[in-house]
Amino acid sequence: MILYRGNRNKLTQLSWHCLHITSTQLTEVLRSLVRALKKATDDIEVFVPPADHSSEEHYVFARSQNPQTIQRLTSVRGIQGFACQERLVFDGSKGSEPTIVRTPIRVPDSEVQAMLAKARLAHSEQAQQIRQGSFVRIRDGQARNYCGHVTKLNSKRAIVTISLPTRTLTVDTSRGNLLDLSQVPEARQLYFYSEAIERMLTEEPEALLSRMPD
Amino acid sequence: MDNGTEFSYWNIVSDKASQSLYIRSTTTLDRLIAEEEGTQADPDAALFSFETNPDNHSTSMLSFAHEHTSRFLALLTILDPEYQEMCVGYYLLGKTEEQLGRIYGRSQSVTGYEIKACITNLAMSAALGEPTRDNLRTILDGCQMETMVIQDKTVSLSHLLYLFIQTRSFKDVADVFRIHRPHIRRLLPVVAERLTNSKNVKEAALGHLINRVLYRSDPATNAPKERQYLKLQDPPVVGSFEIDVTAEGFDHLFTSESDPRF
Repeated sequence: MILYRGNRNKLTQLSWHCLHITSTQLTEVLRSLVRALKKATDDIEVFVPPADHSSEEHYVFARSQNPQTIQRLTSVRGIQGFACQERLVFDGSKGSEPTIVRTPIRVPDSEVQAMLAKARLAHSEQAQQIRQGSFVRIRDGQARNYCGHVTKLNSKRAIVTISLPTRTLTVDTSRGNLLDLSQVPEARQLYFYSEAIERMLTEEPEALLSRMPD
Repeated sequence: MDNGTEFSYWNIVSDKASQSLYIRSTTTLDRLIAEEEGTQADPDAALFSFETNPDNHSTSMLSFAHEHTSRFLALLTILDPEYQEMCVGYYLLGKTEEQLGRIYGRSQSVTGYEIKACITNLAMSAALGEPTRDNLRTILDGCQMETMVIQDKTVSLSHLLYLFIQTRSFKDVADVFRIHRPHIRRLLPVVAERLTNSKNVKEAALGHLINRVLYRSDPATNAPKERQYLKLQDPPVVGSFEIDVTAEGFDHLFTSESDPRF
């Protein structure tokens, strides 16, 4: 995913800074990052690679003509700072000790563009997999994490119907916001289908119907 | 569920009392998990609470829901369907109180209150077990409340409570024991309060059950609610690969997840 503010064309060819995130709450960090980007006065571009949300270590790439704008992002809660290369430096003078010098890593644009192209392709392919009737999970927005079935579909948008025991939610969202879960057997296609449910059903398959809420 | 009924319950049981009952219910869950796993429960568990010791993962409802999903879902079945959905949304799907409130037509604070009430109900029901007459007698014998003299008549309180839980009617109980009905009506809240304040978890759970029966309508006799339909629309920015942070509807991006460490 790319988050940007201002004119991105001015930034082409610039190398990228690598920012280190240490948090299990990646979504919250990205939310704060977006607020910080909104306040920025210069053109800025941030690439957020697809991440494993269960991990604590994440990296995002940022570039701007003004280094101060990037520097300000390191004050966002959850961002530890620039990913740095460490070198042991010893100047050889009498009584001196070897010291560690940290230099922020600058990633060439070509490398980031390669990652970006891969991420864009994966995002597009994922959206194309969605079919009418597909069982999907909503990835973001008001109905985040609910699962349901696609009832209407066009090239950009999809209508997902989520059947809860007491109500029916109809969510109009973009195709890119859906995670295809069609491989999930029909008996397990529950509105709260998640990894925890999958684990439970694998360990105790007989518990499927007897222990589910209505 | 009728919000008014729920609020009258919370008004009667004071904030302080309900909060302490809630804290005890969370430690009760901890003990139940330990029993199920065949391990020794923490002897100081009564001193812990999620508020004072959020790092104690064994007492986290979130970890209980994720590590004992099957048990969690089985416990939920005692709640009304709407509350089941709310607890599943909060603990398994990471929905925030605010997001759930929008879906269920409540404010964030009411949603939070109701989720806490659900957890109290779950833990207390699990601690009490099936409210059979024998079970009630054992509990009441333990606190010397089994035999009671009402209007010069000696009655078995476990029998009286069992009938009341089954019938939910002061009149039916009064007819069986041939006691003036208002006496039963005045007696039960006093018994419930005394049991709820007990240090024994089973006694507190019984007090909680009496309170529930006293102040809530029977969900089994409620007419089913009409199914509700709700439409939600995400702005185009949600799900896009390239996002201008100044675009409209940006607040819907990176929706917050709940942090239910209480």
